[in-house]
Amino acid sequence: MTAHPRPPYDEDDDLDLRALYRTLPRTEPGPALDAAIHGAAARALAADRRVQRQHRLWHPGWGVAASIVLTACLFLLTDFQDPDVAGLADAPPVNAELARPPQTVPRPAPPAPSEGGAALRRYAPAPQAERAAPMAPAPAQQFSVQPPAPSSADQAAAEPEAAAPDDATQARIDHILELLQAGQRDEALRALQDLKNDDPDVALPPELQDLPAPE
Amino acid sequence: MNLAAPWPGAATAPDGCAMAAEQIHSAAMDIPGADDETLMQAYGAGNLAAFETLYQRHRAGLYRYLLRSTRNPHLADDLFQETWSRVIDARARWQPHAKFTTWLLQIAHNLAIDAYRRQPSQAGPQETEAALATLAAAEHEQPEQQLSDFQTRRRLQRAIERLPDEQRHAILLRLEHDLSLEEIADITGAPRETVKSRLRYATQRIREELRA
Repeated sequence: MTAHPRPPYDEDDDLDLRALYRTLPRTEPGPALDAAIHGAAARALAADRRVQRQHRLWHPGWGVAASIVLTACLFLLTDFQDPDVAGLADAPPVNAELARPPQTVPRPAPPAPSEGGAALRRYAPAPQAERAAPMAPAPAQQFSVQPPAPSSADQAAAEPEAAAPDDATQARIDHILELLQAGQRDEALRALQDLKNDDPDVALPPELQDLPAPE
Repeated sequence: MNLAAPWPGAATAPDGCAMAAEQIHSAAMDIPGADDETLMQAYGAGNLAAFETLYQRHRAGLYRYLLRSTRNPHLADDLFQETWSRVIDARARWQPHAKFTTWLLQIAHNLAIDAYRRQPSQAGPQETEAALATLAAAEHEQPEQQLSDFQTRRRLQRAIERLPDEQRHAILLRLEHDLSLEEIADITGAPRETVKSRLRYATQRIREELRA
């Protein structure tokens, strides 16, 4: 046992008692008790080693490393979506026209009551179709119907009104203006060209008069 | 290591012989020459041989302290085992803020006090007589001398057993472990002057018993 300094006990005459005490039996714990404590100490250290091994296996650094690897894999997979990287460069080119989503076919406008059921008018988009037009523009030529040759009486009646577009023509002009406002300039130019082809004498608003012909 | 080996107190290193931290974790540390605090830290670091040395140093003194405090061998066995279990449980978090001996005896003292509170009557006459029967006389002594010494030792043991609990704890710490007043005060949690008074009364009663 570690040596202790002489205690400042003012009754040093207990030296004889201490000497007498040392003559008492030197009782010690039994071997079974020693073995039990030794076993407990050894088991405790074994448990410590198991815990340390588990801590080494499940160190937080492993979680961080796994996260980094997972993230890197995700980046690599993302890069492989590029055809050049994924080896898809030899695939046939995508036909943009075919890949375009199907377009809504608007119903033709009902004939104007004033003109009678027999009169076929140029296609004029219905109000509902006009609202959908910016999202799904359609070439005007696709839906246009050739008007019948006007009768002489009608032509005579139309002569004074050549400068003023009729309702169908005005609807087409409005449609072209909407296309321009929607930023679909090419579609607008094509529709304008169709309109000019159908009615060379159409009176265009100033904002459409300066537009060039479509390429 | 033979766990039933005699008390190797002579192998104890002097105070202040603290080893470096790297030596505590080294398998080649000087275990026999290390002090108690270094051995306890080495055991906490996984060195079982350090615990065995520590146990060998303190097993007999601790056991006698508990046996003569409780006057009950069965209870002493339980408290002895519980004390070392506390030491084992504290292996990882133990810090040498105090001497290992003080800490060890403090655990044992507190366990004994708790046992008194749960079971005030500790020993019967048969157990006391059985303990006294282990008193052996030296062979070189004359029969008259043997009888006189035997009676003296028997009186001393009885005088210690008849002391009040607080005085018995104090005098046992003094006689068994040669502790100072301050160390006894630390272990028992009593003020220094109280410990001094208990020791004075205990010494006086033992002397009266021996003179009777």
